[in-house]
Amino acid sequence: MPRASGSAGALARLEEALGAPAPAAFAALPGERLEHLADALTQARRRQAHELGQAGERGLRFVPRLLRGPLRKVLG
Amino acid sequence: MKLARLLGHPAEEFHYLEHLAAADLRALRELATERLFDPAGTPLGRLAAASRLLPTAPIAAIAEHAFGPVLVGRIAGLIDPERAADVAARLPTGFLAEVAVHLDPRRAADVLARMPAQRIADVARELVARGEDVTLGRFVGHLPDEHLALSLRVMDDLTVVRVAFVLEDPGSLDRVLGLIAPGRLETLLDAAAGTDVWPDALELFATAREPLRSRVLGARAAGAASK
Repeated sequence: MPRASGSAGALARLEEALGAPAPAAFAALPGERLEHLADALTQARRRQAHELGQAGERGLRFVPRLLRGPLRKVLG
Repeated sequence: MKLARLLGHPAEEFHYLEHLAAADLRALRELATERLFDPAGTPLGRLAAASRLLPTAPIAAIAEHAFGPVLVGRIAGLIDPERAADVAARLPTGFLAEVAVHLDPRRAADVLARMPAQRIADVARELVARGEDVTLGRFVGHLPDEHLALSLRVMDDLTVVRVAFVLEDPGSLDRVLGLIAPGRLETLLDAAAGTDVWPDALELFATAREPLRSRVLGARAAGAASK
């Protein structure tokens, strides 16, 4: 995704990352700070999704083989 | 610091937020928490669904050895509270303390209420040993009275004072003071004398309702009233 230019664009990017309007006080922050917040949250979500996927695979080793197929279907 | 921890970054990276009001920071952190803990269409929701197919013993093994405390903290509130409490009973206290650091207590209040009060106090003791005042403060408002009272007993007086400073809900201060054992209130502040929290401790405890306020402040009450 191309970087949003200016504070307005950066605020929009932060709100997209939040999935909700940001608290009003944050609109006064410089664009680069808003970008930093948006990046940090977006990266945290991506990292979490990646780690959950890997943890799910690791977890299957603790499960009886008979259940691994049904579990994989639920995990997608 | 709470936001930095939630996002997995060093606290100093967010120094530019220090001038913002605490309420604004809390509002942003809550929105970020919603995003990270949202199960809809994410691996979180699918993993929680998958856990219904397993007995609690393998879930506990998976939690400790495959997921780790951060991910367990994210998922705990999505699992049936009775089952989650059963899983927690099978996990080491040290691991639960690490999970607590990453858990959103609002989402896990039903789980916490189903855990034995002594177990919660054991985890609180571990958090005290790790200096996790902030984590303890986050949980105060979401524990039943019995669990909170027992946990307060395992905290030394200075930790109780430090936790009071970081309570998520400032209105919880009266509840905390009301659950402290008789006789302890009058000497609670002595532990803060000469420490970095002393200057603000009087001001904080002056906001408590009577008669708790007078019992904590004692002879200092007159000085606090004039501020």
